[in-house]
Amino acid sequence: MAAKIPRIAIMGHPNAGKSSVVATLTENDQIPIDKRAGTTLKSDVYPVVIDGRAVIEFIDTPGFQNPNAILEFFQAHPDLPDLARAFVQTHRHDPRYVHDIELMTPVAEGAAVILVVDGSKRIKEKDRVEIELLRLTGRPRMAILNNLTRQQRYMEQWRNELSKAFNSVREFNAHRATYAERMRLLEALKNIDQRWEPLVEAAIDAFAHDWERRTDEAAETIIDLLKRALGFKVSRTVRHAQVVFQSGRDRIRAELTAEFEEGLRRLELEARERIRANFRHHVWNVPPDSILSQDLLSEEVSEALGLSRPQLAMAGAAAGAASGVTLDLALAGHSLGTGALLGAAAGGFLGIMGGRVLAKLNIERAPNTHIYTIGPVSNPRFPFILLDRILLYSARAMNWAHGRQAADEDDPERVPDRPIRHRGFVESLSHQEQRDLVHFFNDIRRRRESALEPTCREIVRGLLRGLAMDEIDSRSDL
Amino acid sequence: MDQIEPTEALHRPTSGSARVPEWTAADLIDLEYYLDADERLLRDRPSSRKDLAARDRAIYLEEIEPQLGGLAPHTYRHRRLSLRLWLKSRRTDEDPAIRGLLPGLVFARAQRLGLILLAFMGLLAGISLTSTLLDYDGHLPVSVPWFVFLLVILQFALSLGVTLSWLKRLFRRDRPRLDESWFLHQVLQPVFERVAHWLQAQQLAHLAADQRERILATQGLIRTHFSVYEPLALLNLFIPLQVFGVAFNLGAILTTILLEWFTDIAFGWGTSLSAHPQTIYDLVRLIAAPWGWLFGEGVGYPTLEQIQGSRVYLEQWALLGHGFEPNPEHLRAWRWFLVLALFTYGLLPRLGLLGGSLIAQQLILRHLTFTHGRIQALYARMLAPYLDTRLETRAGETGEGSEMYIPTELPAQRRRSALIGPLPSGQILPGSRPWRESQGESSPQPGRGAAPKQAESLQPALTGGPGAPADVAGPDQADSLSVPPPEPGPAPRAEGPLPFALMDKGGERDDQSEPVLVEPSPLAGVTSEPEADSRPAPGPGEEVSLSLPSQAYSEDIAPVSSGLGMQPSPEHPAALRYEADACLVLIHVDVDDLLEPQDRERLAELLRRLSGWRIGATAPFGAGSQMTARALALIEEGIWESPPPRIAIIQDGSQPPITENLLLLRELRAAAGPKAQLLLALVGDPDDEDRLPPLRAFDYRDWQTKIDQMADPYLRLEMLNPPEEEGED
Repeated sequence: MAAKIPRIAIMGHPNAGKSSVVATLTENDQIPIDKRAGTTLKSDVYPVVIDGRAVIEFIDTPGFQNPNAILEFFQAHPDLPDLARAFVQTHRHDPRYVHDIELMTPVAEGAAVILVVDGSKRIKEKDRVEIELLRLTGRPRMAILNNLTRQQRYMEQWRNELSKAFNSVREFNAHRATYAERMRLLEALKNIDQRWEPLVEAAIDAFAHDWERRTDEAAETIIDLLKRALGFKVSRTVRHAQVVFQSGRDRIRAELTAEFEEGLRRLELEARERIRANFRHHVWNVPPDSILSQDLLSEEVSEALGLSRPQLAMAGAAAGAASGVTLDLALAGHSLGTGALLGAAAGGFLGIMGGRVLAKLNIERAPNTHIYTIGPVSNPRFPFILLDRILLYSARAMNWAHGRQAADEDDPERVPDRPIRHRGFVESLSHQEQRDLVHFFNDIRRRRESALEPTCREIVRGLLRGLAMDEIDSRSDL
Repeated sequence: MDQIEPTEALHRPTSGSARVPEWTAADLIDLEYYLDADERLLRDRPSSRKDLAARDRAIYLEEIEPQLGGLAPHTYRHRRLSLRLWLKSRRTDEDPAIRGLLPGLVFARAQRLGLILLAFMGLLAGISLTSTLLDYDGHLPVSVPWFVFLLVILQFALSLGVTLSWLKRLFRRDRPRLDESWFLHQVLQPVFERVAHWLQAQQLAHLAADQRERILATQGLIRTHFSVYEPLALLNLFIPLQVFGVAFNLGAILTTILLEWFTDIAFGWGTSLSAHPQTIYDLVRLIAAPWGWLFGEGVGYPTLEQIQGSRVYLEQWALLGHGFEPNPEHLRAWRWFLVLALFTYGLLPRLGLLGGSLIAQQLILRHLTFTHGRIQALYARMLAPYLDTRLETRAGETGEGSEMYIPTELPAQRRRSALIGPLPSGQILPGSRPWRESQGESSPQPGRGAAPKQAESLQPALTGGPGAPADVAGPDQADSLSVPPPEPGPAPRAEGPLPFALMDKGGERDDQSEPVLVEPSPLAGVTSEPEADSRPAPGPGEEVSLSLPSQAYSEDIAPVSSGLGMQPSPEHPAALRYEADACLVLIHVDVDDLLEPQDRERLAELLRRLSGWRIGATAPFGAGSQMTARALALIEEGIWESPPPRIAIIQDGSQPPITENLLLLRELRAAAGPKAQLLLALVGDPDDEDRLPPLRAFDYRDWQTKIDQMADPYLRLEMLNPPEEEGED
């Protein structure tokens, strides 16, 4: 008995949000959830497996179909030692109780109970009945107030009512819960049954470790993206005959530009995909109105993210790099061509971003052929914009509750995503950190190993960690 | 005219109560067609609710009401006539191009064509079979036993079997749950259902969940339809068969007579058994018993001598012409016997069956109560005054979800010991819900909400409702509601003003229209007095005049014994009498606990708009078996005028439907009878500002799919307070 792992049945009325809670707790967005009632038809077990060993099991159950009948059965047999088991045995073959049997079976087998109630609604008769009948089962139990709306008026009432019958009562929004909130809920599980403390502790540790690993991987992905994007070049060898006329040159330049931009976008998408998989999202996607859905190289994105021009100038000047880019920065780019002329041997410039050239076109001449090359990115703002965007993406991925698939996002009463300043992440870094980043970016552009790479990885990791622990605002409005 | 009313000629009434054509199967098809079209319209565009209400109300006021001659609403006759006139009006308004294509008309045409075809085929079959049997080539005589066996005995056995099975059906309807045709119901039907279920499960498993749900709901609807019209559907198959039979026999008889007239046929009989002609003679006399006394021996049936003479020994016949000379008269002696046997045992039973089934069809049509769910909505639309009538807003796609258990029907009239749960008998524990005791208010009393007002309403009533005729109690049909009497139903005539007249009276209306809660005292006479008077005083003068013809009308009907309505009251102290338009309202405790007095008035108002019913009594439900038992007692012990009973259930629809809710509906159905009108009115999540808020369409759909799956034709689902699409008028 004692060696058994904690089994926790998530119970409640149909549509109370049981599956959402399980999905969020176990980071499993494959659990079928629907806002219509009665999606879960049988008790599904979702174990948390660490190193091949299950440490805790969450059981998603269907909703109560006959709570009054169960309660009356319990009350009619006050002398039975194990009511849940007696109920299951008595009614196993009665089709009327098919769901009730399904949900009482784990309880009969000794599982603890988490009752999920919808805290936005008034306490109703069936709620009291369910609270009472779960109390009568005598199992360790905890209640989750799953309030998906801003309606707070009944919460106190609920808390009072639930605390009479439950060892622990917690608020938990299955659609908004962050990593930190999940961990706090798991912590609370330790309290409902002392015997389970070590196992729950192990599960929590495992979750924390896993999270740490995922954060590191995400940071690695981000650094990798920066390195690849900033070193990205596109070149093409053309025969002389193709570029005799201006129109031919223009065409080649246009094609190369498109290829270059497309390459950058593709790199970002690949990184996103890795981060998405890393945080175990299968169904979630960025909403279409988010800044994450807009074109990486669009004006809106460059305005919303990255460093502002003065910030950038300060960071760049302090970094003291004597590159053409820095010069360009210092001149604040009043004439579009200045920096470009200094850096480019021949040809022109292309891809303007934030009022500035994205990268330069380089044309090498050889007998009978020309080699057209674009890249690497010379625009000083671009790396920060890219970094901000992928950080923003990571923040959404980390904090998007897995149980949120069926959320009614149009419900005017839903809990709003947190209000946020309309800026990216990098601008809140310290000057030193920004300077380090500038150095790092310059090194990448010059295609040399940067001594600052570990530092920058640490910066990114710090940002991600802060996001997960609610210390850094996740800017979910962007 | 024929195009509009395809199945009958319509007589315009000149005065007095309407002479409305009776219902036919084709009419029913068209009615369901129109109902279906309306429902689909509502589903696609819930905002058309108002248009429909306006249309139906206008039809009622302009075309129906003048023809009804003051029949009281909510009675059997009123409902029947109104719906028939409504259908007529809808047909008249139909686009002439479509009119000819109405399914009812098409059905009637197809049926007529089918009948003609079948008759023709029957005739042909009769002729060809008979001429084959009577084929005489001058050698061997025609075999009488074959003829008799094939055309007489076999046919008669078939007719007899059909008659018996129908008698059994009739018998079963009177006494339900008697062993019905055992093989069909115990073996065939379950097997078919199993197989169908299995097949369906295989199919359904591959479907998306919401498709699956939709199919299950559709299935429920089909079952609903079938259970309403089942006997009619069967008769519609049965009648053509009889037509075929009659035509067959006519063909056989005509052929026999013609052949006997125009050709010379020798009849004979033979057997390898050692049959004595005397035995055959006795048998023949037995068969000829129905006509033997009329025609006598020798004509109606052959004499013993003739029988002996017509016996065929094949070895003798081989010698024909070589010494063997049978008497030709003996060989012809059978001719009229055969014709008369065919007539008596073939044609007459078929004619009887045909006539019987036609009469049965008429009776069934005349006994249709027109109270099933969709019609309730239409009827309420017609009766509800003003244009703010509430309609079903059946919304689009059906919900997804569960194979949640849909409880099956419960046997009628058997009180279970445990009403909602698995309790062993007698183990309902009082006081096991401490939270309810603390709420104080929750003691469920019959008609609790109305109790104080009841006294008030009785007071003025005793001093005089002007000239309202004393009520005659209808036959107490609280438990046997299957067939209301064919003649204008119980208590249609004695009704007072039409209910919508009451609506004008603003504040007063509540007291006045307050249901008629009368504790029947032991003396029938005493009860009927306050009861008759407690009806609202007639309002506008027109109503009074309207009631006159109905009074006159009532005279030609033998008054039903008023004693019938009186339950022995000592046994049922709580027995209530529900007037023809009064209903029992069951309110879920989640709603009931919150209702303030003014909300109850509003509830009554909303309910009246929805159904046209007044509140006869209220009771809470939803907190345990005891409460359910009390609610059921109110139904079973109540005395229902103009049955079937009317029950409105107010439920918080913001919570998804669970088995428990559906079980309760089954319990109510079992208690109230198979055709009782159940109205499930859903409200939204009650809050402090609005205790009876509208329900979200999303939640409504959830309920709708489950209710559809229950396939209860007389259960109607509505929003008590539908959301406003447009402003109120």
